[in-house]
Amino acid sequence: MNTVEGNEKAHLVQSLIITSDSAAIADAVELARHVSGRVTVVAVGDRDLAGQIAAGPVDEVVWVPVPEDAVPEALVQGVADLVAEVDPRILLAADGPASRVLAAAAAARIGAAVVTGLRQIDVDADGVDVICSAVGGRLERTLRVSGPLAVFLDGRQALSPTDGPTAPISMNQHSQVGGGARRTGVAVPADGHVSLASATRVVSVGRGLRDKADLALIFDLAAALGAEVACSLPMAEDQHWLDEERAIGISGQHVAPDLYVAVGISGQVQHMEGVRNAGCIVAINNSADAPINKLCDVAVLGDLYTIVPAFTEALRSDEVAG
Amino acid sequence: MRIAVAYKWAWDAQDARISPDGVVDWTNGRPVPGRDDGAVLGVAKALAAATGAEVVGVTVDRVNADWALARGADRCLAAGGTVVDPTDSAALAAILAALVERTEHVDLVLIGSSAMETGAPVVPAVLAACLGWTAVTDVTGVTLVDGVIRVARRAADGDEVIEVVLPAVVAVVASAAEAPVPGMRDVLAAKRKPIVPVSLADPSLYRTELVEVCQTRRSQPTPRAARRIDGSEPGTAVRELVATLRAAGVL
Repeated sequence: MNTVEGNEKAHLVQSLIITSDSAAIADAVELARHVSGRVTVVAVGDRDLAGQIAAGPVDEVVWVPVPEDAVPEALVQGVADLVAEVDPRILLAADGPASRVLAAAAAARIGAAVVTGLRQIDVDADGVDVICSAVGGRLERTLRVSGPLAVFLDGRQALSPTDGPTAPISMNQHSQVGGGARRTGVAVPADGHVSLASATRVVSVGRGLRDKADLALIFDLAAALGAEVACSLPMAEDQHWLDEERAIGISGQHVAPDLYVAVGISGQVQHMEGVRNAGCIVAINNSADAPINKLCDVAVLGDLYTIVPAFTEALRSDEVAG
Repeated sequence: MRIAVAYKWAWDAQDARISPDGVVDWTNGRPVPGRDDGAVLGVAKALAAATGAEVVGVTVDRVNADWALARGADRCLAAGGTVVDPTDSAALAAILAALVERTEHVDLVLIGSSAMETGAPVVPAVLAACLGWTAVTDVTGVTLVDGVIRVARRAADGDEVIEVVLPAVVAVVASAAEAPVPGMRDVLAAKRKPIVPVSLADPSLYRTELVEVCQTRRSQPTPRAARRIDGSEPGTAVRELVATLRAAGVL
């Protein structure tokens, strides 16, 4: 077991974060600090990515440059080699398609068990205990992992820059672009692409909305807040008022925005699992008995058809959305 | 060229019954088509039409494996003989990889990208890792240009176009809400196509021996200290809401 020295109370092990898609890895950094006392990040991407991460509360950044005509996935074997050299006890994979591909190959190389839905991780003298969510968030499982562990995180939380000096960045020059895939160009972006995973604010709507035409109220509020629009699963799967990619819940999207405004949503378990990691949850609904009123940070009890327009107007007139 | 399509490899979490002490009963559950499975088979069918490739479906659903045969697969391999934990994404990926290897001479694996898993969607990436191949996920379009597979994927600056060198795993996100439903002719033709049951009594599962399950319990949503605002006077309520959110630092 790769064990680093710690004080008599804390048992620390070596960890490594892999990210390629985003510098929003605050959750991974916090976990690494907790289990290792030290944060080392492998940043596979351009120099900006490495720089953003180095400005955060990390101790070391290993930068694996990706040439402009390549994609990070093409460096999968080189990154796996790098991770194997470090041989961490815990590998933390940031949220993102390329990060997961790189981390999965690295996990296979070091023979790590794979865990998703992480809620808590602790290390003691005998091993690593993991509490994770399963069965769409309906089950909580405690696992004891006796060997290397790869944790695949979901959700992105922005790193806050530190006041102190930036972390050292070392460039890994051994990870050469292999086969697999290469970037040949960028096409015109399609309209209407929804990016809930990285949204810092989300306005979500449920069955409290009476008519599809009333979605305009929701989109107006989202525009005023600078937010993405999401919905409960029935709105997408049953009523088809919004695309399924906007649906949040057990079998839908899981998001962790700083602000989540739930309009006309009762707050069933299946939905709330999708926003478990949200920063601040605001509920706007007219039912005092709705489950969401105990699962949110602010519950505005009233008619959404008067409150939502008033909220939108307040945001526009005071320019408080920022 | 031979294309393997992984389909019906996930269970619907809402089909599980969970006792108060955390015992999970999947008796009423079966592998279900993923949100992207129809689109994935559509891609395979189009590539096969252009190249003459064989399309082989691989699935963990031994009972209704013909789902893919009605949608363009030429034959299917369905896993059996091993206890599958529907919640173990890595084990599911390892089983799919074993089926791909059993198919032999596969050049391209297609799989749905959307998460049917709890937490991060890892099955496509772990499947690729088991095979020792690279993977490109979250793909919105697949084309064949001069014999080369090109995929489109959303990036920060637009839809990037990626040339994929085979063998590879490509995970596709469906762009349409519903994939075309097969007609009666396809359904009847599917019954004449072979379904090969594959026993995987000793698959190379993904390091499950390292993990011991110590406790399970039914999950409960985490309560929050909800501040209640009376919305009967919208203007007053919104002023209080804005002030609260400002104080919390989210506005």
